[in-house]
Amino acid sequence: MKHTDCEKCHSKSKGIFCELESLALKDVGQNKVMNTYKKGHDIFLQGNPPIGLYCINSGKIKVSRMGPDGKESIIRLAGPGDVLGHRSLFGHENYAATATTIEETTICFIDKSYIFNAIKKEPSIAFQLMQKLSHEMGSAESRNASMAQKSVKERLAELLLTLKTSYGVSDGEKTRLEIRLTREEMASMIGTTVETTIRFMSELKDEGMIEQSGKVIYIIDEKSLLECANLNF
Amino acid sequence: MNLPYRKLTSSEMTFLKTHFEVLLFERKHILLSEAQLPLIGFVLISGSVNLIKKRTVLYNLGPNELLGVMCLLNNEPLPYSFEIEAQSKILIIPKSGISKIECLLRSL
Repeated sequence: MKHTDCEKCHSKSKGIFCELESLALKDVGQNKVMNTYKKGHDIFLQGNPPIGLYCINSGKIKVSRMGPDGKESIIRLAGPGDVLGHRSLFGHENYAATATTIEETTICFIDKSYIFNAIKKEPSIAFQLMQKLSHEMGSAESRNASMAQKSVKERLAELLLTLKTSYGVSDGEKTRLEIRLTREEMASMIGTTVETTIRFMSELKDEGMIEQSGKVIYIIDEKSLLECANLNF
Repeated sequence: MNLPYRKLTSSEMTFLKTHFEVLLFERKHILLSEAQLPLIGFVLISGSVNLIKKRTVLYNLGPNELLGVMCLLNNEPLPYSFEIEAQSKILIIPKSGISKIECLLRSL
């Protein structure tokens, strides 16, 4: 099995161990477990207790919650440098959501007792975690407000722009979204039905803001999309 | 079926319980996956855990069986998956805590 040295990790600058010295980082490397999972693998399940922290080295994960009606709602997407399971771990609660890979993903797992001890020795880890939690809380509040205040089309435009920020790759004058989400997944992220999502995706295409080639989405006119998303409000 | 681990004695279980956490898993879940490095070692305290090879359930684990620690210690991929059935109490042995049970592992 390939073992990636934490110091050479390409996600190190985005992770929670970015301020650690070489020796401390080496210790993390010796105590982590790194695995690569295929698409569709459940990393942890809603309702089960946390056993450690998951640091995403590469790939993409959806974090979703099952409602009382059995419907899945994607609450966020995670990528390289992100951590998962930290809210439940530090909150001493069972997982409030399920994390599932949406493509081949490499994850470094660090057990609970190690991470708690590491934070006592290296407070910078705690600061990095607080920073991540703060960003996540801000994003969650934004999404909450959008759900209450914006129309479906505005929410869809906002979602596409959010995906562009995290997964957009320049392709000439267009931006290609390097993430494949099903219409069901997109619908769950903006709190609407699949049919409505498809309808507004077609509208955005007709208005020249986006383009689709198979499952790949391209953002053509970001300025119009920003206006459509009402993000200046 | 002969598993490469033996059942732990009550004194060994007491020792483990003083050093490691016991967690209750409510939902069916693959705790450790075949061909992957184990995230933890574990002992089933109560409930039901299946040993699975190539998607076939080979064995239903009984209580007090120590599993996954040798692969965890040696950094080797697991030959089996371990699937928790609903409502199981599991004693978790983390990688960082393996040194606490070295004497126990030597006797296996």
